[in-house]
Amino acid sequence: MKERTLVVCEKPTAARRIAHALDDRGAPETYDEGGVPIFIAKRAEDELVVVSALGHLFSIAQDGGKWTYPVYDYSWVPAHEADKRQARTKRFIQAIERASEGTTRYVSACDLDMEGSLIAYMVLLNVCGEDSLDEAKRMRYSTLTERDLVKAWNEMAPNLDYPQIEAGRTRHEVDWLFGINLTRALSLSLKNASGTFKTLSIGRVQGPTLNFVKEREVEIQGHVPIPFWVIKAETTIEGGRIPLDYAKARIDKKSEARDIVSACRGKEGVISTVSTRRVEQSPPTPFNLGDLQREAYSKFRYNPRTTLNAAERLYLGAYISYPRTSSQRIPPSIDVRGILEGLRRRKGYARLVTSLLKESKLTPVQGAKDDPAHPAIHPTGAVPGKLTGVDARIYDLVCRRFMASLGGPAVRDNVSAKVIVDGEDEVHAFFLKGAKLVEEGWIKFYQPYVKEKDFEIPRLSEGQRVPIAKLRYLERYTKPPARFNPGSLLRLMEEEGLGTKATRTDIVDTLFKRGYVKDSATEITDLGFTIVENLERYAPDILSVEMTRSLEGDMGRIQSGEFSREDAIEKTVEVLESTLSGFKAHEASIGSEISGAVTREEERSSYLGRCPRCGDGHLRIIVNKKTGKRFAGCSNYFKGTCTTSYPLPQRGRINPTGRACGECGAPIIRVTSKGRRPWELCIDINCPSKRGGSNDE
Amino acid sequence: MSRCCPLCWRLNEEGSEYCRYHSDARQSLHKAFSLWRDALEIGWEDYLVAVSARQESGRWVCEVAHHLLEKGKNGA
Repeated sequence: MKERTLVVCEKPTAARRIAHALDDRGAPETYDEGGVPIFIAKRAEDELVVVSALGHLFSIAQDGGKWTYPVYDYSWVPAHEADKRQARTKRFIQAIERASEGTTRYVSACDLDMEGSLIAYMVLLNVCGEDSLDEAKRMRYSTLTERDLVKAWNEMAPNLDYPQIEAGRTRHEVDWLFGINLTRALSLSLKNASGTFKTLSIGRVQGPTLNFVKEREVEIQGHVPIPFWVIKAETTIEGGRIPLDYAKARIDKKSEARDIVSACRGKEGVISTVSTRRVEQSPPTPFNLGDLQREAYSKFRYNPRTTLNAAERLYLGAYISYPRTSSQRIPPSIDVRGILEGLRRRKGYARLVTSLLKESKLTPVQGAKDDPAHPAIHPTGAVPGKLTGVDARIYDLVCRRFMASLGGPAVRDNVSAKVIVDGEDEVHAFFLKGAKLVEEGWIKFYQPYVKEKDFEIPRLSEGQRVPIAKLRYLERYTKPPARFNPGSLLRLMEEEGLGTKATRTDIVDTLFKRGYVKDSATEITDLGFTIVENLERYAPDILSVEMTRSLEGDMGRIQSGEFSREDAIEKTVEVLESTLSGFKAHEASIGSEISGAVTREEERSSYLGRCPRCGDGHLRIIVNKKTGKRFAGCSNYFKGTCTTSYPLPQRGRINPTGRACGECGAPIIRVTSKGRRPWELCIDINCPSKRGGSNDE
Repeated sequence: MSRCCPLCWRLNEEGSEYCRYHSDARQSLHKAFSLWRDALEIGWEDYLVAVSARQESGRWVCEVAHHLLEKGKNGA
């Protein structure tokens, strides 16, 4: 008898791929249900109704009550009821409801992770009814290729993965409780103190992450540089100039550095020892999500969100495997040779792949990190048509990294020679260093993403005399630690066990969105700093890595059945009760401090610099209340002593640079628009720097 | 009675004329002076001028250095 099976997918693109892969003819029927695509695939005698969610169709909402805190009562409701911005999800729920009529079997085909498992569970429970869960099975796949999807269908798990679902549900509920209560506490403290409403969010992962940024800023702003000196020289051997480094890398007194230089000046050196050390550099491991995001930041300056979005598009196109993975391992079940055969068809990889395929054994190097659900990110072998921009770069990075992981080690000869200079009172030593690549190994597969570090030097012998030239001492100062960039912040979160591979990118995004940090260097703002200072004083648990780590541990124990959702919620409420009572008692002073920070931040972001015409006024960004247009005006306008004003670009975000134009003295601003590279300009449209236009004259 | 730090909006740390961050910056300045003196044979005021001119110096350190110079204090 013909059976109807409802197959629940996470996104429309995935649903289309799954329906095509499972349909016997590879051409499922498609119809539109209120703007939502539904696919009917025929498989043997059965009919598969393939439907799609749109990420989470159900979310948590407060049970009644006002916009206040504490809030501990909640329910799972349709996402469009909890958040008006999720209005589109209503049509998906209705479409699934209609499409599921007459279905007797159910399959969760969402992404194989906590979120995917929860999405399908909530759809089945709330749309198809509790009984559907008894008949529900789970497809497990890591790529959207036809081969993997058919395999996943044939080897379906007989039940939904309830431990994952329970852990996912707990995570959402715990995060909601922290988020809603702390965000309301902060936002209401500001509103009650100043009458201004601004969403000031904080959560159990956001708190410690923001605290890392603040602690780093404290180190930077409290840094006193210490002077030191380095001694540099050069020698010439066989006509080539080779740098020499003094044996003592750092000299603490200027007089000592000066004495060394005068003692060695005009002297010859003698090579006392020459040593060569052969070093093998193993291939890099295939990417997990964090590694890919860091590498994309380092090579292309892509922020983690840009990289993740591109990786997800490539996954939905079936060009790469599932990107939200912690694994740096490619299991033996993956057909590496088959993937390479596919990649060979792509121009640019053919020569590299051919050389790899000559190897009798192809074993990728395996990293330390693993993920029970997914392998490391790898190409599927399906060759994309024309990729452009971010997608093309991320795809190339993944493919080359995969090929590099299959390459042999790179071998280098590191040469080091000690050069002795006989000074007047003592003997001084310099070192001459070089390196030669003996075997390219994996490096040839990972070009152009490997920096060439080799510096070949001529053959040296002990007792050889060499001239010492360009001898000098250079003053240096100790530097403060660097600010985090989005990549290094993600790494720290990963190392400290904060958040998951699926949530870390969102947490970093939120810090920017709320105005707690700014610029690509992740510099904390006054507002971010004040929030952390107040939490330190009145709710220190929220900044504690240990508290969050302990909750993460609980989620892990829920997955292994050692802890229950109810216990985790109870623990969360306990922490919140003590935190919120401390907060409430000091709400007025917290609100007034935050209000001060908001004002300072607004003033700072609108201040452009000194007025070049009157000299003592200040230029600020002003928004015309009638037209809504913005311009720069001098603060002396209100005193009636200066009428200077400049038009400003009406689109994009304007950031003051703090610099004045070298030509006319007017402030220089940086304008950032979506999809465009930020650009800097002098705000004076009549500035001499803007005349001419052509460089041909 | 608590007072405001002369260099920012924060309250002074107990027993200090500055808030906790500017107070720490002042301590770091004092601690680093002996290293500068040995390295460059430099006096306290020249040291404060030199530190506040360095781009590696933190903002709070520069603010304290300027403040000390303005007050003509000799904290060394």
